[in-house]
Amino acid sequence: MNASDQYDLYFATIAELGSRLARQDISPVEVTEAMLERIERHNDEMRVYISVLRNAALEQARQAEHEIRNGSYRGLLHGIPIALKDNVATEGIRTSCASMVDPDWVPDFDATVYTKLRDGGAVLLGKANLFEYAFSMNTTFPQPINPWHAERSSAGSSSGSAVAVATGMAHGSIGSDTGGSGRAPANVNGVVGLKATYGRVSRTGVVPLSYSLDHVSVFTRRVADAAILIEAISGHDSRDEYSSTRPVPGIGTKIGQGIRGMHIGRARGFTHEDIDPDVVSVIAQAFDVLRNLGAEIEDVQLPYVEHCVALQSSIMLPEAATVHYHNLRETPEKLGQTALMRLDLGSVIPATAYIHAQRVRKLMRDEFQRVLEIYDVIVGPANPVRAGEAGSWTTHLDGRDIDLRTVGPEYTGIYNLVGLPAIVIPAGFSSEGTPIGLQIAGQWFDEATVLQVAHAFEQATDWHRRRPPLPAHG
Amino acid sequence: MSFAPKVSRDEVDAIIRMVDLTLGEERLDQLVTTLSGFLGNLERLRAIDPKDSEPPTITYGGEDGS
Repeated sequence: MNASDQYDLYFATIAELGSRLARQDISPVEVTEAMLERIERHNDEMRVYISVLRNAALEQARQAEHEIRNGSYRGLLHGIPIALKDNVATEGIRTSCASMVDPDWVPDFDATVYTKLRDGGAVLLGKANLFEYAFSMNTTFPQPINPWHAERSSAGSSSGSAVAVATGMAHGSIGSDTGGSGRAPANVNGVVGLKATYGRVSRTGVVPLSYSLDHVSVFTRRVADAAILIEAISGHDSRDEYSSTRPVPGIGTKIGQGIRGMHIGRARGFTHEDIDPDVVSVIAQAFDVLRNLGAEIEDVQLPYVEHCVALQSSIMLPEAATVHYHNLRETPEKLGQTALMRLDLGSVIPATAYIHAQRVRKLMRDEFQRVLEIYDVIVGPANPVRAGEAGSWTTHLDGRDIDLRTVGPEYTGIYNLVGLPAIVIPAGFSSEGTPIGLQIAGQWFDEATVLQVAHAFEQATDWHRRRPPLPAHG
Repeated sequence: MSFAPKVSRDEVDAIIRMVDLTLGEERLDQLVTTLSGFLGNLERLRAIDPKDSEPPTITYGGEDGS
């Protein structure tokens, strides 16, 4: 394989690579070896993986190769190299949660999501970097590098999973998403990030952050690949109390269909709105694309959007403080500063505030139901500002400091609060060269329409074809 | 971010002892700040009348077609 072919292999889509593996045009071992070499060359620079699983990955690849050669092809994920966020439990494999509380935890079970991927024949390359317990930056596990601009943030909390895909260090990956952790990193690293409807994908074995807000998410370089991955991990799991018993339809069946005549609500009503000219410009151009594809677009005020910061704090922090009750009391010195601060707050939020927030959340859900009787999907930015400073919660804009924790709940957390499926796809770049994404949310359990719109946009643009300048030297 | 204190250090200290936590000076000061910020946001949330809304149940987002 020459260098150009090798480079194309790193960035192949799951659909392309899956077809080549099925045809035995390339073997899972060749692919896995190439990916492991790339990871070994660049992981120190990019901080993508906490654990690289060379031996286990090669063993899985050899098994896939044997099965494919012998006619036991399992489907498009067979032999595909993937990454898991390091809060996804893996039997016999360290699962650190990017925390010093229990950095060498080795689970004796697999998360359901990994069981499903393994059953599909995927090859696990490694466990990806994240914010501590999926909600707090932790200097002990420095943030992955944004491959488009090393001084800009790769966001979080699933930044390792997103950067793995953005840099050709995995063909697909799994993240988790409690307030946007599965979409914010897609937004600034130039990849696709999708969370399905609450209940669609089991959280069993994914270390919880907030029981009523946690979702599992996927990262890919193409919308069609996101459909393949999310379908592979969807379905009822009796061990997850919130898991839906609804059958999983062909989630990608509408991909390729046009969107002429579709009613699109343009998300409005945010507290911080139209504040970054780069984001405003990218989103305006994105709506031009959708309009040119035949969609009808109207502004829609998102119900209760201005309360999302309070709602998310009132619900997520007490739930997180419950999850970490013993960590906070027995080993607080091992938690990072941000985690400590947020868990302390979660410990003193009154139960009446938590329950009030849950009741308002029900009203919010009912209002969204009414909105989605009018619109097929709701579209808008995933963040009102471009990527911020690396290692910081802050973005500087026109002399102002924007704390990203005060804007995230309105833009991404809102879809965790109501449990709608939501995807972020590449839609353009800031003047600093960092990606800016477009977010599309849809009706509960209608991931198919969300993917239909996302795919139509993707095919009408070429943002998804760009490759980042980092890691240096290919 | 700074917020006008809505709770005193002594009040927060009392609550912390009730929930069986022990904080040093720095964490306690930090909590006074973050709790004040939270309570500011909560005031606006409290103004919403949740009417007859009950908290979502186990079927939230799931079988009830939500």
